[in-house]
Amino acid sequence: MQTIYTLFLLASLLSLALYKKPLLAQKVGFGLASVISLYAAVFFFSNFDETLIWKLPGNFISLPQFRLDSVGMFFSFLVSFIAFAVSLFSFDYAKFYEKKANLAVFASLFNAFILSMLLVIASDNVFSFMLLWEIMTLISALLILINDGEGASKNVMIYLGIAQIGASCLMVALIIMASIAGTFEFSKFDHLEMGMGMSITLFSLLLIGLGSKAGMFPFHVWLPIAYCQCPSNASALMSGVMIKVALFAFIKFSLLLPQFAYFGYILLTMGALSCIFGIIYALVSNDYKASIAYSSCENVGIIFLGLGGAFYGLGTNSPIIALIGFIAAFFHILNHAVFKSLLFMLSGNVFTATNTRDMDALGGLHKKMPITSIIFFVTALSICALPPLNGFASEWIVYKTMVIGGIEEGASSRFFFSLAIIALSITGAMAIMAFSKVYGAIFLGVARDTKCVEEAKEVSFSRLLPLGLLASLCVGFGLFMNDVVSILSKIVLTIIPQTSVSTYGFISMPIIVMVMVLCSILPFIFLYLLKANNKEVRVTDPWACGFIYNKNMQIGSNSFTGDIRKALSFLLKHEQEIKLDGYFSKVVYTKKTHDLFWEKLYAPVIDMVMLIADKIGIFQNGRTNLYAGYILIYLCLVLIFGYYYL
Amino acid sequence: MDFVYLLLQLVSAIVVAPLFDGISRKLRAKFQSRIGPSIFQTYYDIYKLLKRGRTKSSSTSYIYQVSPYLLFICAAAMFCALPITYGAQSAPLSQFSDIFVLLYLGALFRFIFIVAGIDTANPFAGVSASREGTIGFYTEEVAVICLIVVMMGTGSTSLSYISSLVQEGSYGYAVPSFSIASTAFLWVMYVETGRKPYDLAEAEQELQEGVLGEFCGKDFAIIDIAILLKQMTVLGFFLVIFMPWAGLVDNPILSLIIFLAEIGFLYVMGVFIDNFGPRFTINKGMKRTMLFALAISCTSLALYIMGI
Amino acid sequence: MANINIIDIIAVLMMGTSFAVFGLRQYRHSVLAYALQTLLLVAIFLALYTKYGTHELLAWSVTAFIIKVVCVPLYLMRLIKKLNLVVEDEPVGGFFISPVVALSFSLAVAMMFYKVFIHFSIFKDVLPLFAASFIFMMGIFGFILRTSFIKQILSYCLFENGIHLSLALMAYTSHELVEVGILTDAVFAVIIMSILAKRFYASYGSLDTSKAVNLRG
Repeated sequence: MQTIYTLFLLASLLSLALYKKPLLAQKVGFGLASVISLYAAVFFFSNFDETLIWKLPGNFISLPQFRLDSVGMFFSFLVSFIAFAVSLFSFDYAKFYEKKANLAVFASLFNAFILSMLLVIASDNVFSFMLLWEIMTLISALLILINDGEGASKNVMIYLGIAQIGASCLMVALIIMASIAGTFEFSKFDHLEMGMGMSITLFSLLLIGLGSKAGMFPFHVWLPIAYCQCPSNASALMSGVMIKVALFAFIKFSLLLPQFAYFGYILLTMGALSCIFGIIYALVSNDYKASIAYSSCENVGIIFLGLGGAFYGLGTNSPIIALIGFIAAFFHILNHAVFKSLLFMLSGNVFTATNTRDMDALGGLHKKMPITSIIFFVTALSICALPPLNGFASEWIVYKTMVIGGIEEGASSRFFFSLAIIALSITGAMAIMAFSKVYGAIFLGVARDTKCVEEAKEVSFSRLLPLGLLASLCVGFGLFMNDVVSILSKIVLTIIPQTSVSTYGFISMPIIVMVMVLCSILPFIFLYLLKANNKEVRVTDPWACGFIYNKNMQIGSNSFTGDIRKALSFLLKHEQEIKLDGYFSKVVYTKKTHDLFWEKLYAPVIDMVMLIADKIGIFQNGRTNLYAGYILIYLCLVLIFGYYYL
Repeated sequence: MDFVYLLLQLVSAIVVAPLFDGISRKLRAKFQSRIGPSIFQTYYDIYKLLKRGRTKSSSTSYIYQVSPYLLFICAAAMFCALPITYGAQSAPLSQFSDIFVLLYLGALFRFIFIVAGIDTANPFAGVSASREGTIGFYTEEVAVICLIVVMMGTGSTSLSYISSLVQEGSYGYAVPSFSIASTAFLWVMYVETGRKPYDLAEAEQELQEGVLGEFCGKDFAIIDIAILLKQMTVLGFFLVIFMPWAGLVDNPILSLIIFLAEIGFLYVMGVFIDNFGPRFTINKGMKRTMLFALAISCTSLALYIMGI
Repeated sequence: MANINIIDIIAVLMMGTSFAVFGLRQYRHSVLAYALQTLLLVAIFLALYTKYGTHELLAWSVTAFIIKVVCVPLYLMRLIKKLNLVVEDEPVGGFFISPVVALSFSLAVAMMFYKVFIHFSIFKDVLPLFAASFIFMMGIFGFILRTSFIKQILSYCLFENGIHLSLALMAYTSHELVEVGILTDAVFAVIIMSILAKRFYASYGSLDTSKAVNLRG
């Protein structure tokens, strides 16, 4: 285990040392990252049922110890596997950022990011956890800044602001828990004794702290802002993996608290809200990267639904619900990591080929980039949870949790589980619209702005290889659903009290595939028997009711969702602008949607803070001498205070 | 053996569905004081389509070639998921016949439909793809609320299990939430069949079938059969959960015949609603009528939550 | 008896040299005064070693001699030569006011500090502790009241000396890491600040830190 960490550290330092030769540093840095993460993935996968401990040598203030149990092994495996795919992708992709930042720094930050995430999962001590957590946040902020441009600093500030709110809540919660337990080591937090009120408060603090990092509602506002600003391989890593690290920490810490059924209810509500709001904003957005980012919020909501069921099961001592709930959550975590990083990498391909993020300017890209298009289709199918792919498998298990949880007699449990199922199904219906829109507007039809699409061409093989690998995993995890479930149940059984390991009546995906294959043979037999007309298809323009076809006649991303926007107009605020310039010139029509929560919740707070900061800013007059004077005054005050009061 | 019955179930549905379509067209014509086509007209239509040549628009991609077959696979798999010729005893197939499998196969159908519409770059196809998605949004909620009542009441999501429970009588109309849910569910399933007042199944531009405007020849024939199958499935979904009396007969073939007769009856009775009103616009009309269905289904859910 | 007097004499001389580092106009003279002061620091260490017999202080004196008496002043001299500087520009209020202000404040604060420190320290010598706090405060005031970059580097080194001396008096038995920390601090901070000084000179044309007010709030 320590070899993997030291190898990552060495890779990071080595790529930094190649500062003068950026292209070589890119190949070396990302190549090393992919090799080490492949080794790490294999290592963690083969050690799923063991516990490894490692102490840092030396004489530090608090002895940092790193400990990986089964759940930690699973998450470390996930981190390293996705890092492997993304670093293979970045091998060729990073060269597009050559002018914006030094590629050696990029590769070095990349390796350091993976290392910090692995160490966060493994850390066993409050101080080392918080330190590594902050390092992880800072490195991800620097990775966002690699794509420098106008407004980059503002976006990074928003991301860091929300991350800091989360980190402070998290630190408060951890310190209270440590003081109740009497020790700072997580593995020694045995059974914490506290009342129900304190337990629920700590749970909420943990939820705010870690949910803000995971992108749960109402902290989802940083997701589109940060992910649209990042380079695509960094956003693939951040969205696919960093969110999972936050979820791992949440699961680990909440399991240390005494459990109540209310935990489940809180998680179910927050999960349902995240799902719905995430997918509404994904649906109405015209920027494909923002759509994918909001869909991260939606999927985190689905994971929280599974976790809600699991915690409800733990709180009411029904191990079956807990088992299936955790399996659902872990399976969806696995699936989401795979298809979300895949989507971001594909969007990176599209962006480098066309240099625009606006879906209303794209179209018809399938003719230029066929393989990317097919992989995008498979990924869109799996993120909408359509059978027989992996998204459907994990969502089915989430539904199963809800149904089993809602059988019992209590009105409140029935209410919350029904609410969860309703939210999940509405999300499913809207996700179909959102992703068919994204896929259709980018790859199908005719290009709406031919300048952008003219120079697009298919990307190189080294960029397609990891995408193809992950897409085949999407199909594989769906087909071999029961095998994955049995591996996950072994891992989950280490954290919940003993229960039987039965697959409790799960569906069988191979049978679904078999039936579908059977049905697919029928039309061919039918057509052959009836001697259908198989002549060559004549190609013509699309039918436009007698008018000459114009590419602006086809449906665009904005108009596709027009009806739903009208239906949801109480929730979305639109800004519509129509510019008329005389009868014979073009009409310019723009419509922007504002995130409601940004306007109502965040913008007033930000304005007030800036007002106060402007007033305080008088102290900052730019001369270092005066600042040294401030330090001196402060020291004297502290000395007086300490002398008289302590 | 089960797979043979499954195949029989599917093939007989494909064979019989155009007949029901023809009967309903004849009935509608009679209402409108016309002679109307013969009841076998749909068979002749499909045969004629198979013999025609095809044109396609220049902007299409592989989606255009693949989508008729994908739509057929979805519709056929949906129909196979109905436990008519098999019950809860058949081990492999009861792992396939599940409520969510059915719903999400329907979602796959909708996804391919929308993508095929955008692919052809036809303006009307695009608008109707948007409509298809929006109708899906409206109907999905109500259907799922009704289904929640049934699933949690019986404790399982397996269609064959639920069907057998209602047949035995251990769960059924004695439970008030179940009976109220059945009304809303029937309403939603009617909307899903795509008849007036929610859509005009035979007209083309801008409507639900506008997507099909660019398909012709054998592709169109296959899609036609797929849509017919989907309409059958959706009505059969209602029957299997809320009126599964056909399964009381032990012989699978006999239950299949009774079941197809029931579906045909419902399909043709749909003409009574279909024929007597205009089509709703999607914003006002759809919302207003679906609000009633939503209210009914929410009542049934509230009754379930309170434990009645 | 003689030993104690030597320590006190050296302490008073150190206070004098710190005043010299602060007040002299020519840079070369200031650097030489700093070198002289560090030499006196080494002498205090040796005197304490002979008085109390503590081995760590011997090691400290040797390392301090090598690094702070030889390396750092040579480096600073080279820096001054490279930038072609001779004298410091006139600060606000002239050359008279700031030394007086610094002197009085330092004496006052040092009076306050040494009473607190004497409770904690291992060696209970009064005058060296007073000198340590005085040098520290002179360094800080040098930083505040002077605007020349080189002077600020020198003031930094000055209060570093004060810290070193107070550490030796109060807690010479601490971990080696602390001593390594101070020495690396002296080296690295000086190197980094001199790189910054060169860059500052290249972009602003002079070493007056009051010219760099771009970060006004």
